[in-house]
Amino acid sequence: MLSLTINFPTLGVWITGLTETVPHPLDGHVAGIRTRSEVAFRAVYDATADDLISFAFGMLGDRKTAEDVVQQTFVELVKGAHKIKGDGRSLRAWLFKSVRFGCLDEYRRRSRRPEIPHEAIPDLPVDSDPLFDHLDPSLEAALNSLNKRHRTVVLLRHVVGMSADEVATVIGSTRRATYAVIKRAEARLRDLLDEYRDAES
Amino acid sequence: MSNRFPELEQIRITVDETTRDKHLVAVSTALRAREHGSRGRGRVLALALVLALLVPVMALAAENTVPGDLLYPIKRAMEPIVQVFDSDAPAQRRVREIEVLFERDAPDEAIVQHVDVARDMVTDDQSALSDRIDRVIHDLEMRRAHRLAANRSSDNPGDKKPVQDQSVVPVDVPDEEGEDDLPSSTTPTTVEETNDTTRRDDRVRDG
Repeated sequence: MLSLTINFPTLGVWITGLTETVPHPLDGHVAGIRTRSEVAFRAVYDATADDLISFAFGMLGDRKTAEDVVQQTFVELVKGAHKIKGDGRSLRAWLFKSVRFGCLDEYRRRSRRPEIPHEAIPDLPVDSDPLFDHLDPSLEAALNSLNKRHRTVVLLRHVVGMSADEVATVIGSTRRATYAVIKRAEARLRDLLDEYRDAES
Repeated sequence: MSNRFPELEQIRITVDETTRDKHLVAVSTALRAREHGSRGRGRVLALALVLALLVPVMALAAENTVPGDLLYPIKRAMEPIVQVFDSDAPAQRRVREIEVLFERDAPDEAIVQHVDVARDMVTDDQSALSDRIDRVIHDLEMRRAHRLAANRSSDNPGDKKPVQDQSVVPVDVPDEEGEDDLPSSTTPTTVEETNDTTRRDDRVRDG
């Protein structure tokens, strides 16, 4: 159905029209979030944290920072809870937007920080699996070669599993423009992944 | 997840228990801080609003008060602020208060007491204010004299006896004496006593 949405925009619009009337799992918690009920916050966290952390992890390539960004997003949600409008879909989009901005802030922080050469980092005792905490180097290199917009849409689309319409809401763009961006981002990522895999082999 | 990019599968991670707990504690803390913060802020805001409204209203209400009024202490408390804009204001206000007290027929003692306060505030170069104080004192004396005269005339022989004097009459007039002799025989003492009574009555009424 998702590929239909992309391949046949007209049919996609029709399908989207149908899906929008379907209740969203977060619908029942929006009122609780607005009134800052802890139960609602816990429920929304449990329903979205995996997706949000995966998205942030893909954006930053570092699990620890990704977790911090997600934590900050929920703290921000507490502060701005009274401003949350709409249904569960809007709430989910708000959370992803917030994580996206958190990641962009992190990029800015990184660009200000001086680059530390790998040789200078001492071998610290590892308390968790480094492969689990960091991305595969070739994948990270491919993702780093994408521009931020392409990286965002690819991750939202193929890691979180969002529809193109949901992606459009998160990146604040029109549906038509988002279709085009997703297409270009997918093609670019495919090329980059093939390139890095070939280089590795 | 899309089968078009199997490489992206490794990005898909789940939140472990420790992280979940840490995040939920952060949320609870933020919720509690928010609750307390907004309550505290609300109280401070409400208090500030009440004060901001109350102070000018009270100050305005106290502006035309005289000694003995409920809000007079507020007028005196606000005086340093008024003095900043007009250094003569306190003296002028004291003199005006004396005049108002006189107009309101306040007890003589209250006026005289306030005249002393006003005299302390009025400096030598404020002759206009001194004149106004003198005029009030003059008017006060005139009023006293007028009252005295009124009481005397009320006790004159041939005049109809005022109602309030009836209480005095039985004391001074023995029962066995004839009614015709009453005015001439009692005049000297009765006048004095009547005056005193009237003045005391005035004080009670004004107080």
